[in-house]
Amino acid sequence: MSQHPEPLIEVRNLSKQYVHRRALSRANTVVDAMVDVGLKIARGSTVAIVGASGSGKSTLARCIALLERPTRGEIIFGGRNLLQLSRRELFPIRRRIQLIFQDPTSALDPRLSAVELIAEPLLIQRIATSEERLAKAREAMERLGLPAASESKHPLEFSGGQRQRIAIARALVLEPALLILDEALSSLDLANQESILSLLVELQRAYGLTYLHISHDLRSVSEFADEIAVMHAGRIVEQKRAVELFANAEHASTQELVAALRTVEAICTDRRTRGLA
Amino acid sequence: MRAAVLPVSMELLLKVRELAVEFCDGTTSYSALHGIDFEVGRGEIVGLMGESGSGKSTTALSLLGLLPSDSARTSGSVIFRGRDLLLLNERAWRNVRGSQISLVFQEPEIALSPVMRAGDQVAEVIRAHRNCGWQRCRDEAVAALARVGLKDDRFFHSYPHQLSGGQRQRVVLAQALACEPALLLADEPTASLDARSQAEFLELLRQLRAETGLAVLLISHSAEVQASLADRVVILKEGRILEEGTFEALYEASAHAYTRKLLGATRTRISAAELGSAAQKL
Repeated sequence: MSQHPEPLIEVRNLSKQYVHRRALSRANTVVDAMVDVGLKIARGSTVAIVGASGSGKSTLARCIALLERPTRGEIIFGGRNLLQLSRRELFPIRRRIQLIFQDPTSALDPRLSAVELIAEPLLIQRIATSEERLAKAREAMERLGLPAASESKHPLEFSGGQRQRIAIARALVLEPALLILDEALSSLDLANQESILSLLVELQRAYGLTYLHISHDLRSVSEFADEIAVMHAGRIVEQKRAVELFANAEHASTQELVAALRTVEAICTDRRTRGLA
Repeated sequence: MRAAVLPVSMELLLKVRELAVEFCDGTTSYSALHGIDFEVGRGEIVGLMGESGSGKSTTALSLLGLLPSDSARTSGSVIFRGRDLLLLNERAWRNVRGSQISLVFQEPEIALSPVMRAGDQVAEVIRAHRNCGWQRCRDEAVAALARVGLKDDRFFHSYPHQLSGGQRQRVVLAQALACEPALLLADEPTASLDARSQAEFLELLRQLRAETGLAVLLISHSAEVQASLADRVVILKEGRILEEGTFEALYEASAHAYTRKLLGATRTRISAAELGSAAQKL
């Protein structure tokens, strides 16, 4: 992990408010989805955001991925505040920040073949010739462990784990600096979670990738993340290394998350002692 | 060789023998299931685990007669309450699906109509299966919602978007149990729920099993869910049953790396002591 003094990306005072205007009524409902979030992500590191549903994790991910516009705050990347750039200035920067969603099936166009899907982002970003795009797509497939023979298959012919690999390949082919994984492993079985996680670690080492990992599963991020930020009601309430978080959870919602982390061993022992066979 | 795991005294509800499913699209064919055998007893919670693509969903769909008839070739037998379900025609299936064998799956938002009140959606299911008057259906819907812990009047009158994720999933469960099925298929039922709602939902299933003898076939890739709910777990690999047993037995002593990975046994173990300080603070 390189020790650059400047973080790869820094978020300052980021807030997002949703205003619900009700017809025939003066009262507007204002929802503070994200309040005053500050985060620094070092190049080559993995930062995890954990929290209960509704805590603002996905809002944060979507704002950093530039899919949503925050109400206030700054996103500093490459020395510039992305929120002040014009659409044209932003266009070449978008490839540097990629987002992987929880459900690969809805993220992939079912009419395109695997290799077409992976080459598509290059087409959108107007990078390379069409032969070069296919070559890069094939290379990405190999890196993600997708068999070359399956390149002309369509998403629904792949298993869930493979579909997520296609989604990741699509992101990687753009050579991003930051990859945001929004519950990207939650819908996968544990064997696939493990193999994709180790693949991501390998890719991080090889290409100096930086990851922002959003998850409700504290357990899975604790092995993978350098730092964990806990969100509650739109704010980051605690930010520590996994080991420190377990040993010394300060905020009530962190303590709840850690306490809810019933390990399988504890569950089995509990069942045995309660005589529930 | 599989050990006989059903206690002799348990009433057999479902007996699957040599279930095989092949998908053909004219030119190519693909075997999703290669002839699997398993049983579910009355009131048993059987977990089904396997990598994506191992045949879990195909198994569930075949138990509901929902495999595409034009491309799926099914063979073997699925004996449920003395009848082979694979021999049923569509009309007979309609008497089974939803009333004797029900399904809940991951996203309650997909199962529920956003423009109908929760209570009416449960009543609608009852009306489809029982030929009773609308008022009677509504009364039964109220009872069904109460059984899943949504006793308050407001739940009946709420639209799905006015409910939390956990509450929506309970509404779906109320629909699935409205006609008191003997077997519930649950396909990743808690995957979209937060930790607390998940714990509540699992506790609810446990209660319903104890009170009504409901049997559950639980598909979940979450080791914690299976460990807390399943009486035994069946491991699927590439369309075949690799092994089965209690979660704990497989977790601690399975000879197969595949099983151990699936159950999370290969993850770094976190000791209770490491989590202890946080638990103590609560």
